[in-house]
Amino acid sequence: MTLLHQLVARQALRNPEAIAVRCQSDTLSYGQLDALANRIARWLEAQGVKPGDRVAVWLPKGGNTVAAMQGVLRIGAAYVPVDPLSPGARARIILEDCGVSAVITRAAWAEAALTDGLQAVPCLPIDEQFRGHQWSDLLALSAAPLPEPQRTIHDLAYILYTSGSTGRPKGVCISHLNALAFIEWAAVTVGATEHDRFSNHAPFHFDLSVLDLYAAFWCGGSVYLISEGGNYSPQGLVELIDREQLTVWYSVPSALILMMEHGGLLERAAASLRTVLFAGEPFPIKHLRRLREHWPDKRFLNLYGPTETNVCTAYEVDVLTDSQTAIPIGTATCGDLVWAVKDDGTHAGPGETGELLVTGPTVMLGYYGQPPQGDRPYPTGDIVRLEADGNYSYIGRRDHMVKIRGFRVELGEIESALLAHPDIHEAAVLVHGEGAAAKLVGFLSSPPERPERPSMVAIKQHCAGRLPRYMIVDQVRWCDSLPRTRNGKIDRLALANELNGDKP
Amino acid sequence: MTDQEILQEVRTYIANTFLDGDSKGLDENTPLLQTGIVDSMGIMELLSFIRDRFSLDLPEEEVRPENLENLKVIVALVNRFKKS
Repeated sequence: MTLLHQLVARQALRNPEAIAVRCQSDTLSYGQLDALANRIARWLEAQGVKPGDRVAVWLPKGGNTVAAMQGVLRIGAAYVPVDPLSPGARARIILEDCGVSAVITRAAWAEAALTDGLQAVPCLPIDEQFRGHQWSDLLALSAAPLPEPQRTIHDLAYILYTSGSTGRPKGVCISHLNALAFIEWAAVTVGATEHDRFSNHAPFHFDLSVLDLYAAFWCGGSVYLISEGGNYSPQGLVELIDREQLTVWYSVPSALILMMEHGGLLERAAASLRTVLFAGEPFPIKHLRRLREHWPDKRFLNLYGPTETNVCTAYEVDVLTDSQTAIPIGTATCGDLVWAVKDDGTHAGPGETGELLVTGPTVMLGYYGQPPQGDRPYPTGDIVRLEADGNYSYIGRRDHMVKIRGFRVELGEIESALLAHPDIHEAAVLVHGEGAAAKLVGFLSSPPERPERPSMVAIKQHCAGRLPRYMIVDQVRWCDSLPRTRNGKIDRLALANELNGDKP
Repeated sequence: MTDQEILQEVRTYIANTFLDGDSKGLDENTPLLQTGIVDSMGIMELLSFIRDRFSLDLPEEEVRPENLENLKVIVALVNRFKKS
C-alpha cells in the first residue's frame, strides 16, 4: 500500500509539470515539490535524523512548508506541525514533549526557542542563516530520492498537538494508515480528479488541513494554501474562489458564515465550486439554509471526528426542511464503526443518547508518550443521539472541552495559564454564547497577600505568551473567592448561572 | 477630527469591546494582535467599526494585520483613507 509521501512522488512521475501547491507567493509543480522534498530529506539524513524520529515543522503556510512535511516523511520520520501563531513557550513544550531530532523553522523563532535542553537540536532555517545552516544549503544536495525507508502503513506519520485538560497540549499520533483511510474515502466521496483545486483554509496543525493537502495529492489535483492572515479579509476569501477556480471548499462553518456576512459570498455563483465540506463545529442551520438555497446545485457535506479519529462520520446535506433544527453528523465512514453508549453501559437505541465511541482504521495510534490505543474503541467525549433514520446527531460534550470557532479548547489549559500569573489565585473559565459569538469568560480571584488586580491588557498579554490566540479570555469577572461545591470543587454551575443572569 | 480624538474613540471602542471596559495599560503603542487583545474574529469587528465611524474607503488589500497592529497605526490608516 502507498505511504503518505508516495502520493506526491507518484504524481511527480506521472505529471511533473502539473501544479501541486499554490499560495499567495508561491506555486510548486509536483516535480518541484518532489525535488525539494528529496533535498530536505537528504539534509535531515545528514543531520542524523532516523526513521521513527520526530521533526518539527514550525512555519507559516507555504510551498516550502509542504515540502518540509514531505521531506520528513521521506526519511521515514514523522512531522510535527507547530502553530506559527503560537507563542514560543507553547512551541517549546511541544518540541520537548515529543523529543524532536530536528526543527524546520524561521531563524528568529529558532533563536528564541532552541535554548537549554533544545540547544543542540539541528535546525534548518527557512529565511536567514542560523547556527551554520541556511536554506540555500539544500541546493548543494541531490534532488534524487533516497532509498525508500523500511516503513509500513502502521508507522507514525505525523503528530497533531491539541489542547490538553491538564494544562499541557497533548500529541495525537497518526499513522499513514489512519490518514490514508480518511483521505481515500474523502477523495472518492467528492469524486476527486486531477482537475480539482482544493482550498486549504485550516492551519497545518489542525486536522482539517489533512484532507485538503492529501486529497489533492491523491488525485493529482492542486491545493491553494490560504495564509494565516486570510481570515482578516472575508471578501478576499470569497474572491479567491473565482480567482483560483476552486472546486472543493473545506473549512469550519465559522469561516463560511464570515464570508456570507462580511464577504458577499451570497452574491456569487462560484461556478467552479462543486462541493462544500465543513467540520469542526455545528453549522447553525439558519446560515446553512441560506447557503444551501443560494447554491442548490452544489454538494454540502458535514464531516465529523475529533483529531484522534480523523473523520469517522459524515452526512450529506439534502433539502433542509423547515422543521429541521440541526444538521446530523451522519453515519460511520472510512471503514470505521461508531456507536453510542448510554450511562448504564448499554448501546443507545433509536431516539436515545449516549457517548459516541469509534473504532477502525482512522483511529489514532495513541497520544505521544502514552500507552497505545490498540484496538480499544476511542471514546469521543461527545454526546450524540441515534436518530430513527440511523444518523447520529451531536448534542454536546461530557467534559470541559469546548470548541471556539472549530478549535478544540480545554478550559483547564486556559485555567492553568491564568493561574501562572502571580496576581491570580483562583481561575475558572466558562464559555458564554454560541458559535461565532462564543466568548471565553474567566472568573478570577486575587491572592490574599496581593489584592491588586491586573488589568485586562496585562491578563491578555500574559495569556498570549502561553496560549494560542483563540484560547485567550475575552472577559474576566473578579470574585473575592470562587464558589465551591460541598466536595470543594469550583462550582461551575453557579458560575454558569451567574453568566446567564440567574441569581441562584 | 484631530489625531487625538480618533485615538480616543478607537481606544474607547477597543476597551469596551475587547477589554471588558478596562483601558488601563492600553496606549498607542500597545500591540493589539500579538498580545491577543484583538483576535482574528475581533479584527472583523474592529474593521467594521473604523470603516463606519470614520467613513473609510478602505481598499481590500490594505486589510492587513500590519495596518491594525496598534492604535498609532490605526490612526494613520484612518487618516489615509478618510473620504474627502
